Amino acid sequence: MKRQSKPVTILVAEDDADDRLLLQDAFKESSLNNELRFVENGEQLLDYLRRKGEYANPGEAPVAGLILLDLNMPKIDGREALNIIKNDAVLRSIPVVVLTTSAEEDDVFFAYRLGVSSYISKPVTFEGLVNVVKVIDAYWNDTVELPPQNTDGA
Amino acid sequence: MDLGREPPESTPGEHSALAAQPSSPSPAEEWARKPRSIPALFESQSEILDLISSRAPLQETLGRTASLAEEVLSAAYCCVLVLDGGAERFVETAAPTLPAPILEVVRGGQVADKTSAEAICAASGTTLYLPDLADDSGELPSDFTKQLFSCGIKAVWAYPLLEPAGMPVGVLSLYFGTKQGADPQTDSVLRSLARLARFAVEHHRSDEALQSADQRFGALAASIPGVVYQRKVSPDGEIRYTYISDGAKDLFGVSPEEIVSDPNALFDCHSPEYRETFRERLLEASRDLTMWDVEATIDTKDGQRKYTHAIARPHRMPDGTVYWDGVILDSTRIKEAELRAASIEARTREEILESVSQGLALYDENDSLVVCNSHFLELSPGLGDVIRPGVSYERVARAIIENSLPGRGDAADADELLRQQMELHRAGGHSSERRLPNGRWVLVTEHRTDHGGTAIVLTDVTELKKREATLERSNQELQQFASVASHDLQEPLRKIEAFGNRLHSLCAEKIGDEATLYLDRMLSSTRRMRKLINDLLAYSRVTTKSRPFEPCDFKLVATEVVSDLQIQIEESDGLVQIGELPVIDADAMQIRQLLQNLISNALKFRRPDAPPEVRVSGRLVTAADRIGETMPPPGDVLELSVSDNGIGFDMKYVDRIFNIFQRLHNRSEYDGTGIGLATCRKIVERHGGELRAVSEPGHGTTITAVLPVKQIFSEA
Repeated sequence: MKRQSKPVTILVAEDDADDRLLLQDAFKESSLNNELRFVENGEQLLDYLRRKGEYANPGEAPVAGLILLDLNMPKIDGREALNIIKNDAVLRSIPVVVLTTSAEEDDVFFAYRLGVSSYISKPVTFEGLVNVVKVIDAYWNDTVELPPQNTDGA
Repeated sequence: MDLGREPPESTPGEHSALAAQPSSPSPAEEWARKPRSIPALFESQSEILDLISSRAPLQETLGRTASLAEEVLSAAYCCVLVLDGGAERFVETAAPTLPAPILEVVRGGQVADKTSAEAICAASGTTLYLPDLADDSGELPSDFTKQLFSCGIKAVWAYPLLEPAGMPVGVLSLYFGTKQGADPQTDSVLRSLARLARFAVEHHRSDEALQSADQRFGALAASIPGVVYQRKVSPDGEIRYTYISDGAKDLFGVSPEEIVSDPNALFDCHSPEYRETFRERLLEASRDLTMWDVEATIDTKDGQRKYTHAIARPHRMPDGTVYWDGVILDSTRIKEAELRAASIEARTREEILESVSQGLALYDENDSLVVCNSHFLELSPGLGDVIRPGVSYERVARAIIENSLPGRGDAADADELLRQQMELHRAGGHSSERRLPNGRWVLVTEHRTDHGGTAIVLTDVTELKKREATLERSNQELQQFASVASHDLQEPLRKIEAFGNRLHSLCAEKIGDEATLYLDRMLSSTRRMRKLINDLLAYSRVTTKSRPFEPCDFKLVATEVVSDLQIQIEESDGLVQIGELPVIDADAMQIRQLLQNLISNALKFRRPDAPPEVRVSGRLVTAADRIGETMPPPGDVLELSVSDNGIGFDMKYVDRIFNIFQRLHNRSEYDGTGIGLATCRKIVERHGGELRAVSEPGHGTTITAVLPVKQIFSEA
């Protein structure tokens, strides 16, 4: 087991404010000190990752070490965003965990085919959500060597 | 006949019955004195011949003959008698001057009785000469002789009228007032007159015979429903009717005379087409001497339509003229009956054809269209010119294909489609749906008839199609609604539950026990709603998320289900036994859900006093074992049963337990949404099977899914 010196920034793409709040609570409850950043749709997600638009200013968008992605979002939805990310030479290396209410097989297959790291259904209870966060922590923070954080792709 | 007997020598008479003519010279002597009488005799003879040939009454001819004889033999009475056919008695008497008493004797009596000189003559067939009655009185009956004497008759001659075969047909007799010996000249004159008389009688008889034959023929001809005719075709091609019976008047409205004088009178009754070919046909038949057997239609002058049937036999004369003897029968009644029958048949067929709401067409074994009804034409728009009796199946098929191709485009496509269509057609029968150029849908069913023809039935299924489409759309919308609604309902529910949890864990102490109880109840309701939504989703997914039927190992699936339900089994201290289960065609995911619902139910509805015991068993039943069973599904089936020792239920509810939201128990007793068994039934029905239940309160329940071993239909 190894503990990374500095916890990665986790980028959460979630259009639902309640879910964002609950996720924040769950991270707090789990005593994780990863920085959480939120975007509300696929468009914002891509802008964030590419540092465009409102994320153009330096320091506005700390490099994301993990993306928690909801599939059902306005504008560019999670599926489309996932497709773009996984077909982008630079962005594809960022691990993506799909966290969604959709348990549609099509979505699951689609996500795995595109190379998501994990596919997790949103738990219905808060405790469940806390557990998910703990699993993420245990897996991504403790056991997995994340790619080096080279934000410029250099 | 005693021809060798010479007439006696003439002797001068002593007295005469003809007191006014007391002459004694022989008739010949009289002639000699009147030489101009000879030409007069010939003239008179030719007069008699004229009478005969002009068919004057026999009486008149014979009377004239008798008068002539009297004229020639001035001092004599002449009598000509005609015998009946059997030569038994006289039937005709011509005696212009013979005294009545003698005539009476002569005319009466039978020949065989020989009461008169004539009778004796007729009986013997020989000439009788009695030149002197005083001497020859023994030759005649004494009564007759007496009568003769009283009339002053002194001599009697009688000549039989003999036909060529020697039979007497009558007698010519002469009564003289003086003794009269025969001289050869007189005798010769009288014999010649007798021959004239005989000729008159024979001519009359043959005329009579001819007439009676004519009458018989006429009667016969008249009794025929039509006419008898003879026509003559001359070598130069001239056609004439030499005879046509009176029936012509009735049949053609034209008299026989008109036809005989001009055959066009007959021809004009016929249709122009008949007239055109008639002459040619008749000349040909006259050349080949073939029987004439021709049916014709005639329109009489009074506007009647009649049908005739002519039959005639030809015979050729040495000069090449051909005579046709034949009949023309009036076959109007037969023909009309035939036409009526045909029209009734046609009308009946028409009525039957038109009374069905479908389009019908029948092709014969040569693929030629025999008949079709008006619906068939209506459902074949744009093909009115093509679909005609006699048109070939292929021609119609090509027209349909060409009509259906947009822009009448690719000929190769049309050829290929036609080839496929003809292949189906030759295969003997098929059924397909066709979209017409006007947008309507037609179900085309084709099958081979018993006689090798083809019957085609067109059914307008446009409305059905519309309803099907509407139903499908509404079904889809419903499924979509159920699925979307369930998803979207879950979102806020999840939040309520999550925030409820947060409230419970963060603020329970602050809000106190009472509020916490309310919160718990709220959360419990939330859980229940989540279950409802999930069950509803599962129910709708039976059709929306179905997979193809593949061989499915029921034993394996059941084992996995039991493994999934391990917690529930342990909590209830229950036991689930799985018997031998086969591999049959099924949707494994759904069978899994089916077994999960059934086993889970069996564990749930347990008796409080006894741990649940559940048995999953299967029994294969072959189609042969199921003979007489009317319940679906057909063929070999698997009877998959889940039995328990639970609380059971009253069988009066058996029809209701599979209905959605149907519950038999209060939620406080047995929790549930009332969707589980409905989902089970939906799954079994999608497999073409049937779900049954047998139960007894307090003694457990057996739910049996009867599933077909083989899935014939790829997808329900």
